[in-house]
Amino acid sequence: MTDRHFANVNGALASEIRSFDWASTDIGPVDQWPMALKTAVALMLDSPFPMAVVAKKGLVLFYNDAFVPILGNKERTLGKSFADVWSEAWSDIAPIVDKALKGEATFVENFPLQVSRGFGEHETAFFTFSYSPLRDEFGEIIGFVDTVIETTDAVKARAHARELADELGHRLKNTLALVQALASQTLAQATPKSAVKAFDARLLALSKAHDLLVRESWVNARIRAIVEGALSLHIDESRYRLSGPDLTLGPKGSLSLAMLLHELATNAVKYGALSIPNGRVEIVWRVDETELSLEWRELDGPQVVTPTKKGLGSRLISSGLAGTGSTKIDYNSSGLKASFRAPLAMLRDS
Amino acid sequence: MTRGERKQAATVLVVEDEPLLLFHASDILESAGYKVLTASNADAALSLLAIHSDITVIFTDIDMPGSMDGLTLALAVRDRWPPIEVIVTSGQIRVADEDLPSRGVFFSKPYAAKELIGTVRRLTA
Repeated sequence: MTDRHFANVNGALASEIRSFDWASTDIGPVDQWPMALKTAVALMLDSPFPMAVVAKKGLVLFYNDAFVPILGNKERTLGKSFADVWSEAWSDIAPIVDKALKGEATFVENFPLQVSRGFGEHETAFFTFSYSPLRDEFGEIIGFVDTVIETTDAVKARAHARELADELGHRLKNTLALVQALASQTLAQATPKSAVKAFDARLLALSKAHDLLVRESWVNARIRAIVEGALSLHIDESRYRLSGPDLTLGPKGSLSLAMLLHELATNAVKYGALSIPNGRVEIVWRVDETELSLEWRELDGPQVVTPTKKGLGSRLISSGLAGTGSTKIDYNSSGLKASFRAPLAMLRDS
Repeated sequence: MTRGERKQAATVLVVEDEPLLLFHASDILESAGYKVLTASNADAALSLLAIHSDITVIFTDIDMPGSMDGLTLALAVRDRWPPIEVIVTSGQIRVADEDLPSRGVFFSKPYAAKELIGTVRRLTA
């Protein structure tokens, strides 16, 4: 009789396991089980986390109360072969079981399986699980322990959020394209061409910076990608050198940096180092404790002339990174140098 | 339009359901000296392609109402008029290479005028 085994454990599965006719299975009556199997089953029954134990013999399946939702409406699963219980997904599961029975443990996150759990249709479900080999007192493998949590809802929610972010990005870019066309069509007759061009270039710089944010679901962007994106609208890579840690910036910080670099590059192409073939720029940044400092250095350019009129570009540059205003511009004879500083937290979190 | 009369000027078919974007693309191409035909959906584009044998490039939006979107149109054009070059645009950031016809070019909206002109020039060179 199996009654004395697992006698002090509460729960529906503990009671089912106590009354189950184990003699009819490949592992025989409980008295004949290896000690390690009894211990593993007892530990499993006491666990509030979804767990299953699978014996090597006949792949006989045990599980606890927390595991029940994973089985859905599958019928008569206790004591059956693990391979029969998950027959619909067995081609994906079998290799992992084989590894566990050869002593190789597995930990997989969000593993997709096509399962059929008595709800009619096949469904794709996701599981984060680990299979650990179960050994007897002689070190022989007698089965494995499966600890598992179903992550289907979380995986689907993430995919949905990603789709929404992509859709939002798609719509934003369509709207920017409309604004671009509106501006060009509206201003074509009345305005100096240079103003329309400057507007068009700023809009494209803004759009480019948004691309990076869309890729990361609007959460953040890498500083190097922002700098490269902003410069790519003006010059090819041979003309600039970047140096600094590849930090992550938030949406506002990313857009601010992209627009700032756009204005600097525009000026450099018009009047500065990038206006002649051999001129180049260096962008160097570093983090000192809590502050990001970034320097734009123009090299091998023409004689620097301090500009007399202050346009929008100069005002944007003066207002600095994230609008902090801590901008320092040196019109060195060797080339313009612009330095910016901003609290890192401000760039990262907004 | 003396520039449009240059004998090497290619004819570009622009397909876009949003009028403002259609004007914008047409103006960019016309100001660069190209002859431009316009259509606001894939079916209209196919009708124009059937009667204008001088079209060398088609520039189409992807997201359009009607019987086919711009990618399907692009593939149909490649299939029925293999010599015609295809440029595809959309508000999406990217398009999978396997969704584009061979030699097809994609760029994202909004695009720079010089990107459009440069691409047409390269494809018709």
